Amino acid sequence: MRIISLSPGLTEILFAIGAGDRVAVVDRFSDYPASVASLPRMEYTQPNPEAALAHSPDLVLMTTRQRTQVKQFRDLKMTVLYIEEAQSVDRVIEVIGMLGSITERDAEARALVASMRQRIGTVIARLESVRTGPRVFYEISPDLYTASPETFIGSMLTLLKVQNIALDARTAFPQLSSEAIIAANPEVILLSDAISAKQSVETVASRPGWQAIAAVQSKRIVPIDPNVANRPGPRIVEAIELMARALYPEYFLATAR
Amino acid sequence: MITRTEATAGVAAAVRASRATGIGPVALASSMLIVVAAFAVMMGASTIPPLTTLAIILDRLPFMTLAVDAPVGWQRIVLEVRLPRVLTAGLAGAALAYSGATYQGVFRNPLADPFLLGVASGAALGAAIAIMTPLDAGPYGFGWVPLFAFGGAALAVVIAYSAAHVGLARSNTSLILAGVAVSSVAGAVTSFIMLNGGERVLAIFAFLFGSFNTANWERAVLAIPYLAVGTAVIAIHGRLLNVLQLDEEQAAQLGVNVARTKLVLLAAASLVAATAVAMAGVIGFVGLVVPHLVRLLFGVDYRRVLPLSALIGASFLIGADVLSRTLLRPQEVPVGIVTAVIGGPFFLYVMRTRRIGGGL
Repeated sequence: MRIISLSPGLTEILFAIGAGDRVAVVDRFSDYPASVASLPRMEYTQPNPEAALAHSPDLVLMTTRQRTQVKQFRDLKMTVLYIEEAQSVDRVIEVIGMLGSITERDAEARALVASMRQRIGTVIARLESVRTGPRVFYEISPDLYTASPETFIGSMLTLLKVQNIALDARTAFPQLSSEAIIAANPEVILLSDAISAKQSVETVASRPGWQAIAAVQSKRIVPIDPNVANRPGPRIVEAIELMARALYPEYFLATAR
Repeated sequence: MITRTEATAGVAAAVRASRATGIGPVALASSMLIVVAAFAVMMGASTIPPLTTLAIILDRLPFMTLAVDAPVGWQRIVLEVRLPRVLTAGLAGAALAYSGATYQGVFRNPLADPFLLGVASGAALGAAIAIMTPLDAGPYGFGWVPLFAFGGAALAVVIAYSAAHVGLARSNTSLILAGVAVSSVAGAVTSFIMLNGGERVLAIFAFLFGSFNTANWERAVLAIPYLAVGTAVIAIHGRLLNVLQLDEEQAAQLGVNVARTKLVLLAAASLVAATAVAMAGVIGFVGLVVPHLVRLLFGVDYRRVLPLSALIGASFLIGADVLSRTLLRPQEVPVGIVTAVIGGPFFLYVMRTRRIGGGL
């Protein structure tokens, strides 16, 4: 079975359930695990159907970004499985099970799901006594785009009981006013643009007016790897654990030692 | 063939007509700007009582010490977020409208705007390159993005101007066509960069719509010398802009070195527009429509059109920015979208009620 995976998240799932040997081609943003580096690449936006045909795939996995091209690929007699980008942790787990049965790696998929459930369960159990968590600003870009609770990232923050300051936003990924963030006074800032736009405790602290923010004063500004946190794949568990430790250090001191 | 005296008489008549209204318009536009700016400082994503805002600002003036009873957060919001934001919006609005008026005057073309010779697309390409390189450290303070944007804008104009050389002269048509060509090349390269940009595309997008969300004192202050030089050069040539409204041949008969005047005016206007774009991203509409509005309301004498465009452009963009940060608060609406959505119908309304179609 030769699979073309056009989604970084789906690529990660396939490798995590031991179906990596069936992945023949990946999209340009698939970069994990390291062994995908040697695979041929296709575009993520507007993948070329002719290039796909040339790889004679048994299955093409497409996601939200390629939605308009599903019919085009199918008309060329390729077998396409369209999997909408997951918007919740539960949906990621469902997709893992589905890919397990398609690639005949059911046992591995079940084991992965069980371990993910168990690790998430441990985090949630530890936070059982938390009623309302800290106020959090999740920064996607330095011009202050963030994630509302409706998004995948937002659902993880909700799971962690934090108060997302983008609660009242009207779109999935709103740009907040600098002033609104200062007024909301977040206690923790999660920086998913730490790598892509080189943001850090220092750059955040140097923004006009941000000295008044609690998270800046206490330096609770935590870099988050967007490829781990924003990508609906098996590593969301790592993101949840990392964020939980950053948000509730007092609840996780025991394991840190 | 119109004689030199007839031509001068025509200009003089137009000037007399708009003079009849006296100094009033400038005073009116200045007071409007003050009111709009004061209102803009009071408004924001967070609700701070207007009197507290006033007290926070007055407290900072020399010889004033008020016991301001406000949280530190409010002080910082007013002094470090709102004031530089209003100042930047005002400077950008004035710069765009002022350079727009100059472009329209030089080209004698109602569709001319400050982006005609490639300022916007050149700046966008420069910004996109800066955003994609490892240089970028975000949109605060002095950054590489404004620098590259400014460089891109300047380069685009220089290329367009040099390419427009047909025979000995640069006709308006060849300049406009060269500008269109340079703009589409730069625009295409920017699109290509965006298609391959991954997660940084958002930052390029933001630049293409313009925003004052990351305005700060450093960048506003840094822009002032460039704006001052450019506007001063244009202001000195205000009378020549009036003469350029005649046929170029007639202007030459009046003793104006048309080619040199055009070069100086376009260079200065491009400098002003490039500075505005570097500060705030690409904000359309202001530079096109505000000068028209001024001419519709106050007549065609460029010595008046220029300052009035700056004043009204500043008010317009400050007002648009208030909407951009309050319409969906705490969310931002890109200011370029606001200027077009609000400004378009407003301009149509003025045009209809004034019943002036031609003469632009």
